[in-house]
Amino acid sequence: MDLFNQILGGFATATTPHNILFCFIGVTIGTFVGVLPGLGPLAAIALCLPITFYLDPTTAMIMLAGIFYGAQYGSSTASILLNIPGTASAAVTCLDGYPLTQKGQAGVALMITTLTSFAGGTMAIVLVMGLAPVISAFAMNFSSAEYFSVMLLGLVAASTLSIGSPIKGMTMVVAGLALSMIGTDKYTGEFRFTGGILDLAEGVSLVALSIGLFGVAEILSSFAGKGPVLLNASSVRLRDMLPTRTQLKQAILPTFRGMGIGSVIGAMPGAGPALASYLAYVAETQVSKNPEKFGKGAIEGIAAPEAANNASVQTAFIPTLTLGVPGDVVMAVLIGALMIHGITPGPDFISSHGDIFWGLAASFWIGNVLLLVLNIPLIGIWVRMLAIPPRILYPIMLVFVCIGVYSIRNSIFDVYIMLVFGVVGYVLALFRYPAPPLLLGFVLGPLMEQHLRRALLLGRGDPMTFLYHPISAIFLAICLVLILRSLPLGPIVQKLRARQTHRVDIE
Amino acid sequence: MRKIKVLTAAFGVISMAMFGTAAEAQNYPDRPVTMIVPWAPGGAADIIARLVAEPMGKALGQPVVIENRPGAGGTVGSAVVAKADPDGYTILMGNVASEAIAPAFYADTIPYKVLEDFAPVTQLIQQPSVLLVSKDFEFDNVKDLMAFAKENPGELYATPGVGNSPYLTFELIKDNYDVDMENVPYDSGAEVNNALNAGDVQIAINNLPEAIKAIQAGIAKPVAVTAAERNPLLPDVPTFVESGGDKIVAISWQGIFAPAGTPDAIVQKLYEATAAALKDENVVQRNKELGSVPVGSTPEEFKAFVASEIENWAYMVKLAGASAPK
Repeated sequence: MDLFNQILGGFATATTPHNILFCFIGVTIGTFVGVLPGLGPLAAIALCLPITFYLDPTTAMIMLAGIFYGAQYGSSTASILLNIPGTASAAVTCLDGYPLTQKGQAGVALMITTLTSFAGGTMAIVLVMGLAPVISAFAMNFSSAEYFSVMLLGLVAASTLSIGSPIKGMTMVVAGLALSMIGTDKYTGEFRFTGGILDLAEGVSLVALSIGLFGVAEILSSFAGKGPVLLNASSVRLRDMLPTRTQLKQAILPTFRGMGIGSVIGAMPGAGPALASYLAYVAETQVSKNPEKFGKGAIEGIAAPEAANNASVQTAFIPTLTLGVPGDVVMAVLIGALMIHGITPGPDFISSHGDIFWGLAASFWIGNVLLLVLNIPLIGIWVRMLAIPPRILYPIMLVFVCIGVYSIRNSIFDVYIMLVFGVVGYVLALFRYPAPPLLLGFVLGPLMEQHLRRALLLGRGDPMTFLYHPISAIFLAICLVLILRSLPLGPIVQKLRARQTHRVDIE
Repeated sequence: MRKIKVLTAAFGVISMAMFGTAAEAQNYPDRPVTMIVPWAPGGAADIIARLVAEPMGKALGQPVVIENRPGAGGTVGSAVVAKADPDGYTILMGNVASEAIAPAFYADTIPYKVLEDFAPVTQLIQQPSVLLVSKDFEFDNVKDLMAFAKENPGELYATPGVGNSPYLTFELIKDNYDVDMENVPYDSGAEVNNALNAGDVQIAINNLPEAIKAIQAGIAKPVAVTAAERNPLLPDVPTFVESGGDKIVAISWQGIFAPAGTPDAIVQKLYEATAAALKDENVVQRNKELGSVPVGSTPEEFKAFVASEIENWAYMVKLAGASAPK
């Protein structure tokens, strides 16, 4: 009853015209920064933060949060249409989204990701509202050993993405981890692998890397004559964007599973939406009866990750607000926004600032509805972009991504990095090495290293500490199962046996 | 003939410059003043900057506009101000990290020398770090805790990261009591609190606002504060000085700097405006909430303070054995 009244109170706060307006502004900005590769929610929120100084704290949070989850809606658009992820979490959506576009089903794909984003987001809000204290208590039990193991699971999962050989996937994960080592060692402050280049002191820019690997590489391959599928404008009628009944049915269960995985990952500070969408994707490939259809335009392959990353950004607010522990940089900025107003998130946040918490949680729902209404008409516009001939579209995009990458740190060095990785990405694509695992390795690398080192410190240097923590041990066991399932062990075992017999023969 | 012309011209320029400056100082400020915060929006430095900017602007008669220029431990934004025109229209919200620790930590790689490139205006606030133990931990005073640490070499302690003032202050503690302890760095003060709560570590050092949260939530007990005097928010918590660690005084602080060469009259105006801002009702109240002790030193006092701070932190950085490669 009490909870119900609080939720009602939250809606009363969130539905004032003033708050709806700022929610709308937030989700609109979010959608666009999500769509545009290179611009991310972090940049947009940092830019908008000073404005919110003049707003009521609840309104400020509603708007900034809107940018954050709005970006997740938009981020799949460029993945699906152009094979260029708008944000790192949408890289996995490229795998099946782009093949759908190549089949001329871009509209359908966008419609499905919009619907699953909505479903994933709204269902996660129920968790935020009902279970915030329980979930944060659960997340508290996660120490560095658990974090390391779940991230390892993410990487193992990414490398066994059923497309192509798992060895190639694993190579890319390791390459991503290696690249993430460049920069300042968090434990000692020493520069590592920077080659004396001060621009690398803070590491390789994530945006430059991802835009290079995906965007620039895609543009390069279009010069090589592999452009996207051109559409004529007539194929973007609403009727052509509606998924068939079978397609919708295919999306339902993956959406639920994605929502579940995303909600759990989101509640763990630091894990992030990228990990959520990868795990959701891999879970689908594992439960599917015909895993061979992934990578060729499977509906499940876009529904699950999109539900997962939208769910995770909603539940990410739980540790941020109830523990004061920001999951990522974006959340850290949001905490800063509250602190400017003299409010420090922490265990007593819900009791002492219930109005803000419930108002914000209610605004998530309103924001998600606004996003749905905003995004469906936009689908037609985005799809029409494909009607622009590549010789015009791609040079324009190249200019945009250069500006975007430059603007993050006002650094021309980052633009060079982007171009280098563009060439790398093109070559990798030629040899059929998948880029998404590299990106995940790069994103999770620094976190994993930190948790590995911290877990070992806390465990007094004993590596068994990862098995003494039961949750961590479970994650590691799943890793092992995934590896065993994906490795072509049969031939190797035979070879070993053959070699052994051979040796015996010699003796 | 030409020489004379050049001389006259030079004289003209010099005198114009001199009178111009005097006139400028008199009319200062006739347009908005930009305050560069070398940290991201929402951080401690940003919060205090935004807090004083409004009353400061009122006192100056022109708005003070905040511009965040984060990067490389606050040194990017500081360098911007070091190179700015010394006309009082670009000033810096500097702090212990960018103006005292970074010069020692990054040695020659930062493009400014704090004492040569800045005209210190005033120290706004100071905050101690707090030594904490988890709620069930047996030893909750400095003497017993250090005796325990001495008997158990390699005991773990948590810090909110490497290179910041709580981290370096703990180096000073270890050196002073000659104990061998192992640092477990976390990403933020909030994470340190969680580690204490989860029982991952029993001993920690944290910045004051986070430490107060942990104490109020009942997950940690305060052992000592690192300032020379007790903090008004923790009146019952002794200082290290009281507890026999007389060398352990290390605080974090925020202060305003102008580029070197800014006319004294303008520095004075800025100082008076910040002094007024520190007395603003809202600022007083918020400082109390944040546990910040307002200081409001004069430009001369602040200059001497910064010089001694650079020496202190350089010593601690040396203790930590950490410095960025050249």
